[in-house]
Amino acid sequence: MSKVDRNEVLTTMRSIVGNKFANSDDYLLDNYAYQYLGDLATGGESKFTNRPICVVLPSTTDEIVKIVKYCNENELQFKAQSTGWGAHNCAGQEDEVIILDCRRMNKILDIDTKNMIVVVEPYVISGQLQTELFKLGLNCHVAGCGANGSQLVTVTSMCGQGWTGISTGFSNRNIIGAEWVMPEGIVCRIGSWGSFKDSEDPEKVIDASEWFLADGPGPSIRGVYRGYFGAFGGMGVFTKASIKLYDWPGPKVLEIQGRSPNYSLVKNKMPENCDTYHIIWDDWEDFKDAGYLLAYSEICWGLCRIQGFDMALAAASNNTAMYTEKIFQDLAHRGGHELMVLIVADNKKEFDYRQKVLNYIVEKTNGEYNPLTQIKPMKALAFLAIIRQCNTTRGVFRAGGGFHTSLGALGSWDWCVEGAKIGERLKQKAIDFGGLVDDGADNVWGNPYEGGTFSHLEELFMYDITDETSRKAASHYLDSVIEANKIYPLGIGLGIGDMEGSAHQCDLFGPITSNYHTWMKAIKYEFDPNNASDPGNYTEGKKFEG
Amino acid sequence: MEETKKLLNKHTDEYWRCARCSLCKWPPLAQIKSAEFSSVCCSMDYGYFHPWSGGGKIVIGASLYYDRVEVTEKMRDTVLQCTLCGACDASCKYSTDLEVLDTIFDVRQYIVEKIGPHPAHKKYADAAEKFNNPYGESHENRQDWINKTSAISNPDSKTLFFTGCTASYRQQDMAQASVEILNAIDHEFQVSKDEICCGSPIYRSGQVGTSKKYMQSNIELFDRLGVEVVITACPGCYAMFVAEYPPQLDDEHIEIWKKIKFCHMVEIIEEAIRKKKILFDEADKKPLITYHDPCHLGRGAEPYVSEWRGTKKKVYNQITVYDPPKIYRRGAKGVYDAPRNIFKKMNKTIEFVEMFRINEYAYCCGSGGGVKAAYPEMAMFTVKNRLDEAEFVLKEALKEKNTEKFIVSACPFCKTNFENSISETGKDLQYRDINQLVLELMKK
Repeated sequence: MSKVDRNEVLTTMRSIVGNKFANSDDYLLDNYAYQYLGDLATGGESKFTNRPICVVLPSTTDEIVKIVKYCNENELQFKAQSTGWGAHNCAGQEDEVIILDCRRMNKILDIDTKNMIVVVEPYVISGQLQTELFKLGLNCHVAGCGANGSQLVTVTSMCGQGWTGISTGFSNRNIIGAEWVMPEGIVCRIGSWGSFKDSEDPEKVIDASEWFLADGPGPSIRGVYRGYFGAFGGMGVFTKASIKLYDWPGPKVLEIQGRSPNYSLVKNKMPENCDTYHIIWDDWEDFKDAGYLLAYSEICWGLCRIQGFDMALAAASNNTAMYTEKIFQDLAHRGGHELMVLIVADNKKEFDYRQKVLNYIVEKTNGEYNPLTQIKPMKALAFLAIIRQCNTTRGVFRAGGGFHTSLGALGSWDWCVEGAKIGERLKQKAIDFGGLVDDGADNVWGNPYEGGTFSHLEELFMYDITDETSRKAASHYLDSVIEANKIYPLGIGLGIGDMEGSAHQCDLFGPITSNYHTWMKAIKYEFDPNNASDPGNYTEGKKFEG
Repeated sequence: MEETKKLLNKHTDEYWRCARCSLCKWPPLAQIKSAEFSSVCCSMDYGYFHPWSGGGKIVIGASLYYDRVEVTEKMRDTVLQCTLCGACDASCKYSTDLEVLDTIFDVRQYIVEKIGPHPAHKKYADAAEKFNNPYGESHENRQDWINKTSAISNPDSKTLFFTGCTASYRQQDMAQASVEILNAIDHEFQVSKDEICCGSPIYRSGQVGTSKKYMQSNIELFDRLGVEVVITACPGCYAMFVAEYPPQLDDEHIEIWKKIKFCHMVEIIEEAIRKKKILFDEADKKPLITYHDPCHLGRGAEPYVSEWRGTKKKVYNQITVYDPPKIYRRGAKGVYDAPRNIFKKMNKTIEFVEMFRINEYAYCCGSGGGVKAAYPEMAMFTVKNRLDEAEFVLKEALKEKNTEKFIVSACPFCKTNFENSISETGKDLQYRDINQLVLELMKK
């Protein structure tokens, strides 16, 4: 229980950030208690979770330091958010947590084209960043949640894979440096930055040498502040991140035609030396072999599993069209195991080479180019949707309003495919019961990344969030996923932490996975002795007793 | 159920289905063209906290519907600090079927019915009650503006030029330019001394009940005059006629409404250019212009779609589909092409460049929805953002050339706000109403 009341907290916060930028009106706090996955966090009862004690909009690292220190001194907790999408953004407990909404920290501080590094603040979304990078012939990794997600958060605090992971790595691996306000309010600048303008003083240019602090090889601070999965706001606040960039040989601007909801590339014409291919394998083993060959061949700009049913949802302009129009029906019902391949080449010769290799792999592994998606409009739409990551919400949320991910495997491609098979069996049972959207059960999404050295696949599911029976079914299905994870330790079920808190998940899975959770708790304890950084979706600290 | 709560009851699907994904804060993601000019919600830009966004206002509705909070004046401020521009709705509907703007509007109406309108909005309603216009100007002087022109109206014409309150009393040069163009293209029209406020400022500030009599009176006027076409230069009036009147009118009035064709001046000009009734001279030194889509001529002017009736069924276990298919208003079918076609035909007279946020994802000027009256500082904050964008694209397009720079639009409210801001900030560009621009540059 905090030593201070709501009014005192508000007064102090306003003295730090200004009157306009701190608020604790009931209706406003309630707004920050509402979340995607709130329904699963409450057993299907409500989208509302815990209310914070106050919401604050800081604009500088210095303000955040003051807020964090105040929380440490007054037995309060804090949690930062950027775009604030997902139940992990909510307070871990009622009326005890100050939410730091970092919306005002929204600048791209530097794009270092020579070293291919960008430095961003928390509220820069991938769509903004990618727009500016394309103009410079560069690209960034965009996590699968879509271009509306924060770039900083995916690299510092969460685990995000994207469609182009084969050529752009994945979020955890792309972080090069971070400005980290540690849980007790000390600012740690770690990693490499390049030079950039200070957001608090635009005249001041901060030199790389002033900032550089080696991080690895060997024990890594990155492992402390984010580990593999990220601390979901449970290990301080990240105020700047420097992120690795990649070459973009495609057009500087993707010219678009049409009006919402029917955007596509102009005349459905693919940019020069670019193309998309949706390939189906009827046999899991062939699919598995193809995944390896495609990854090792280094011909793909993008490589990702996307099932026909989801593709139909993302392509159709509404649910009824998806159900009634023949092309979408055929796409949804084709079945099989699919991969989407994107080729983006520097020149015609290279493009032809890549296409030739692709043809060879498809033939060798008994694959088939899906005729439904080989037509120009579908190819153009797929290219736009994948490159700009603009159809994610449409593809998974529109169907029933309820969407989440479940059984997921992280590791070798073989291992992931085995996980997919288990996920399919498990989900089919829930579909047969009637509560989940019948997407054919096998709806794993994911990909090999970085040349196939590592992979992940996660079983997606959808439900009608307006229907209590469907919400309950989703909740029960997730319970069964947690149970399955105890039997098949595939890796931590992606995002399950959102339902009951990752803390709960750690205690559940730690004992069957090398007791990793004891290390997490020990690190949390050492770095956050006052438990001030909301542990609700991470873990409570505990002194190591090894 | 309490009568006013029925307004909230309509949106339980939205309360559950909002994914809190923030798509309502950005243009549809594929249409982001600049990191700097990539916000689409002026309410959120001004208020900062999530409740100011489209999704946040849905959550306010949910909080009220589930009795989690009480209505307060601060809550009313949050909900009224929104121009009802509909950008959130258009962005969300690229990906979902949520009725964001309808929810926002019903939450607004609910709050206003609970604790009353904002004092500035009440003042408008009181003035309209007394003078038939929200400015409190004499009704007798409503059509005085036409006497200051050489334009000739024909009282027997089947076309009515509906001036609107703002063009009648505050932006008369717009109305004057419009009728002079109508005369120049031999398009007969009449104006009526019995025209009254279209109801927009009262309706949009949440005083829906009070606004209905203005709608009915105007429809009755159209009937009395026997007009078949109503032309206006005001998008506020136009959007009311084409989109907001139908659901508020009773059967008798809707039958009259169905017989009338409503047009905005840009559509008339576009047609006249197509028929070569308007021609332009080649200019030695072309001014550089960019165009601002008025929200009520764009998103808000998408015609009314009658309430869907049919059979809902679930397919694939849990996906709801509609038979017959439901038609959605996504804000994409407004008047976007007409002004651009006009500029294309003026290509020997002007140079045209687009801003980043256009058409269904255009950024608002900040003056609609009662904001200019109740929260003038928000209106000025927003219009400055828009002018920054205009200034940026004009400067980029201008390169080394030295010519005049204009932001052009087609709305008296946008005109007022842009002119106020340009005068206050000293920005290096001018505002021009599209009617005035065409009148100035057309061959006489």
